[in-house]
Amino acid sequence: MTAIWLAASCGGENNVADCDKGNKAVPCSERTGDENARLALENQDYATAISLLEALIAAEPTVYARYPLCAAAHAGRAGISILELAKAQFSGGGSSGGLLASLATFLPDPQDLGDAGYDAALADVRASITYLDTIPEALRAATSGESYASSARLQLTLYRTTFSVMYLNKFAIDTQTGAFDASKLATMTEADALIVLDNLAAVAAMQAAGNPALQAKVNEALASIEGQDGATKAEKLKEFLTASQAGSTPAAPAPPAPAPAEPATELAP
Amino acid sequence: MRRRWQILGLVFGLAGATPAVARKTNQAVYEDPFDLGAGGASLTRASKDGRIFANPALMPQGGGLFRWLGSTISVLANKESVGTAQSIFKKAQGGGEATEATEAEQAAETQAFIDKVFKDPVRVGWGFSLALVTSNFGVSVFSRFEPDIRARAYGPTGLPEVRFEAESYHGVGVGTALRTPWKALSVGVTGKYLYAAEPTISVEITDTESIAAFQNQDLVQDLTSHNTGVGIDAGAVLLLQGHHVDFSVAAKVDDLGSTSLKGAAESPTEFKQVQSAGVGLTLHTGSDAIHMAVDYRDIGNSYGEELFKKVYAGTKVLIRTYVGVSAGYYNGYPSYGAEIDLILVRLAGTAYTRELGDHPGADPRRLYMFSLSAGF
Repeated sequence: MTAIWLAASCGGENNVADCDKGNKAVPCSERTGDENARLALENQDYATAISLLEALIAAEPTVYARYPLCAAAHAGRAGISILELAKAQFSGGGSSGGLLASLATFLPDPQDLGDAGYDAALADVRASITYLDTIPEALRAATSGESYASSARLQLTLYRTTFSVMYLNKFAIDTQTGAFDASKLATMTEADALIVLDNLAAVAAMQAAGNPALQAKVNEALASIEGQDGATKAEKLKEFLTASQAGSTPAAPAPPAPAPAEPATELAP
Repeated sequence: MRRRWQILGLVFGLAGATPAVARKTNQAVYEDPFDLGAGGASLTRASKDGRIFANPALMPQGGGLFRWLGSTISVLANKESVGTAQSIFKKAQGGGEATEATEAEQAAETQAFIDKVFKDPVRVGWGFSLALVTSNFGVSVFSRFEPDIRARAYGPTGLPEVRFEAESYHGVGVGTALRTPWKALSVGVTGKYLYAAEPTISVEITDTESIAAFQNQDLVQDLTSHNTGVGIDAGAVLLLQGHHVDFSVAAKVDDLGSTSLKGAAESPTEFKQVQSAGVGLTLHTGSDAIHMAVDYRDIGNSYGEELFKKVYAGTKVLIRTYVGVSAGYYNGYPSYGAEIDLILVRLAGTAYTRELGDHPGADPRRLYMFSLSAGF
């Protein structure tokens, strides 16, 4: 019997009650959907995490604690690393340069993804924002007692900002060469410009956004865009992008006053 | 610049104090390292002063008056975290010098710290006991501290999180036991004074608002607060001895009537009453023995844990009383141990896994423990 014990014990590091890798003779203890989703997220298996979380959300749509997790999973699949953003924040690396320069190293590269991949990444970030927006505002407000409230606000700040920059890059970066392509700017419509600006305005208007430095950069960028030459939003934005690429973004005249309330924001169609 | 010191200061504060990992539920407040190697199945056979806490009724078993007089020190770590732990505690010792570091140096150190913690979570611990155990009486002063620093790219709310937890258990156990008129049955009781804390703190490292809260020095002081309480364990062992085969059955109640702990610490405030039962089978010659045991803890399901966290099973092989090896299942994971008795000194090594989550694989910690005992 001792030999059996020793042999069994030396058989590996798995838990005997693990439903997948355990001993079938032992009653298995199954992990919950939430536990599996968390493990998938930790293992950066975003597709599995999204699948599990979306099923859980569909089953219990008012359990809002899962929404920030699902948003993080979508953002992770899009190639946005919150951890890298965090590390940069700690080391001060994220605070230098303008908005575009600050975020450039943390966003998916259009050249790496190609047109279809980049559109899929944009769709994932859009889904992240949608999940966070679905949480009732009172539950994610600074006054909320929910444990996920500050995460939801911070993620919303990050994803709205990154979505805006990614969306801009769609009209600025050649997916073949990865370089700035001024000729692509012509394809940006007024509606596209409004999508970008509305998202940035929503970030600027957020109360207790969780990242004042980023919010300040968004404010600076908005002011700078507004100060550009052009009759339309699209023209101003194109001028801003061109100037940013040239490294000659004009100084913002004055930061805009915070909006009284967070405006409803239209995402990309 | 200050964020680095908020986090490192928190780590150092915990390290400099006396603090624990998965919180105590159905396991004894102090367990002998060799017993852990045998899956923690110690109701029917425990080592040294582990008897006082595992089951006081074990004291009358065996020959002679003195069972153990000595001290045990142990260290515990996750293999991958040794380097990280060394770095952190080195900094903790020389933390004062770092205030002269430039902002760039501090930022680089912070970056290195975050990289290390995310790569290799820190799990360390140490324990100490000083005890006298006779056939009818035992007293043990013990101290056990296990901090756990776990970093995740995705915490419970989706943000990167660094979580500090600790189990800090200290106290005195005084046990007494006797054989009943029916000599096969012994009963025992242990009174224990506990000084315990289970601090937990979670930092979402992208959230400047929550990090700002750590500027409050009172926070670290709160984390080092301990609660105190007095509890009672009671046990019984029925040992049916043969020439070469012994059979034993044990029953034990931990924290009779539940042990209430009071103080400034948030946790623990109560150790619930837990009823447990175990069986053991020993094959032996005059000097060698093979002991197989299974414990079923928390029969009343006070803590509502899954079956795999309630069953402890293992085998100890004792050769000429000088060498022992053990193997078993602790929290459902394989465990191993070995002990060498050099007359006055005992060396032991143990490898086991604690499941800190509710289900297998949810949040396991593979731990390696080494202990040195001096006594006889």
